[in-house]
Amino acid sequence: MDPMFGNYLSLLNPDVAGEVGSFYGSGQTNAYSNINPNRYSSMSRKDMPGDKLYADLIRAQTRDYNQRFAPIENFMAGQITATGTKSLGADLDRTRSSMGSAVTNVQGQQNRDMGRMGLQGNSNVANSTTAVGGLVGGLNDTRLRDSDRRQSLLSGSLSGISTKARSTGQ
Amino acid sequence: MCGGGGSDPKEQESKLALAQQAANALQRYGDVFVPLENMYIDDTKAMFADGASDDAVAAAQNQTSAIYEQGFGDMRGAQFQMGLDPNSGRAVGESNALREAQARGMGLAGSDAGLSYTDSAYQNLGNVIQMGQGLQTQAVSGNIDRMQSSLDRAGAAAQRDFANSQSIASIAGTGAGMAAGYGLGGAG
Repeated sequence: MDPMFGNYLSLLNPDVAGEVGSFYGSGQTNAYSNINPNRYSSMSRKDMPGDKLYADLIRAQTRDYNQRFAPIENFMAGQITATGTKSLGADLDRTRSSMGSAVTNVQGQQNRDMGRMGLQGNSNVANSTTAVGGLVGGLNDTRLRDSDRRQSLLSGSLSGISTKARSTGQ
Repeated sequence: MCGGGGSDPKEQESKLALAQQAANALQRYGDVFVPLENMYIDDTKAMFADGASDDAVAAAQNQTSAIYEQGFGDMRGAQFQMGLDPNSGRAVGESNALREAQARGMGLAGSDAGLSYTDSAYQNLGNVIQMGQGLQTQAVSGNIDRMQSSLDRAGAAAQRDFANSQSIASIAGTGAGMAAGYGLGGAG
C-alpha cells in the first residue's frame, strides 16, 4: 500500500478506513492496522479521548469478527442438514470409489499372480460377498460417521455461539 | 444538594494510556497473528475442496495393500511346501479369499482415511469459530496420525484374515503367531 494512502487511512475512524481501503482495493485484510494509538492524544481530557480510543478498538474487533469469522460460522451452520452434513454425498462417493478402486486393483493383482503360474486368472473379486459386504459396511459406516459429525457440530462449536451472543453486551 | 465543584468532569489520564496500550497490543496481534490465523482459515477451507483427501485415501490403500502382500508371499510358499497344485481348488480358493479380504481391507482403509479427513476439516472449522469467539482451540490430529488409525484397523483385519488361511497356519503353528511375525501384533 502507498505510504501516503496508509497515512490518510490512519487518520480515519477504523470502520471508515476499512471501507475506504476495500473500496480502493488496497487489499486490506488486517482490521487492526488502521488503529492509531495517538489519534486522540492531543484531545482535551474533557472530551474523553480514552473512551474514544477504546470505542475504536471495539469497532475494529467487531469488523474483524464480521470479516473473518462470521462467514465461517455461517458456512458451518449451512453444512448441517436434517440427518447429517452436506459432506455426506461426497463421503459416500469417496467410499464407493475407494472400494471400487481397491477391487479393480486387487483383481489385477490376482490375475497377474495367477498368470505367473501359467494359470488364467478368473476370480471375480468385484462380485464376491466379501467385497460387496465391505462396500455396504463402508457406506453404512459413512452415514453413521456423518450423523455423529452433525451431533458434534450442534453440541460443540455451534452451541458456543449462542452462549457468546447472549453474554455479549451484558 | 451537595456542592461538588461545578467544573466539567475530566477523564483520568490513565484511561487513555490503557487504551493506547490495548491499541498497541491489538496492532501487534494484527501484524503477527492475524496473518497466521488467515493461513489456518485458508488451509481449513481448502480441506473442503474436491479431491482434497485423495492423497490420504491413496496412502491408506497403499499401506494396507503392503500389509497383505507379505501374507500372500508366505501363503504361496506354504502352498508349494505342502505340494499343493496352484490350480487346485484349495489353492485357488484360499488365494481368492485372501485377495477379496485384501480388496475389502484396502477399500475400507481408504474410506476411513477419507472420513477422518472430513472429520478433521470440521474440527478445524470449529477451531476457527472458537478463535473468533476468543476461546481456546483444540489440537487436531494430522495426516500421519489419522492414517495410523486407519492402518491399525486394517492391520487388525489382516490379522484375522491371515488367521483364516490354512496354509499359513500350517507353517506358522497358528495364524495369530504368524500375524505377530508381520509386526501386526500391536496393530489390533
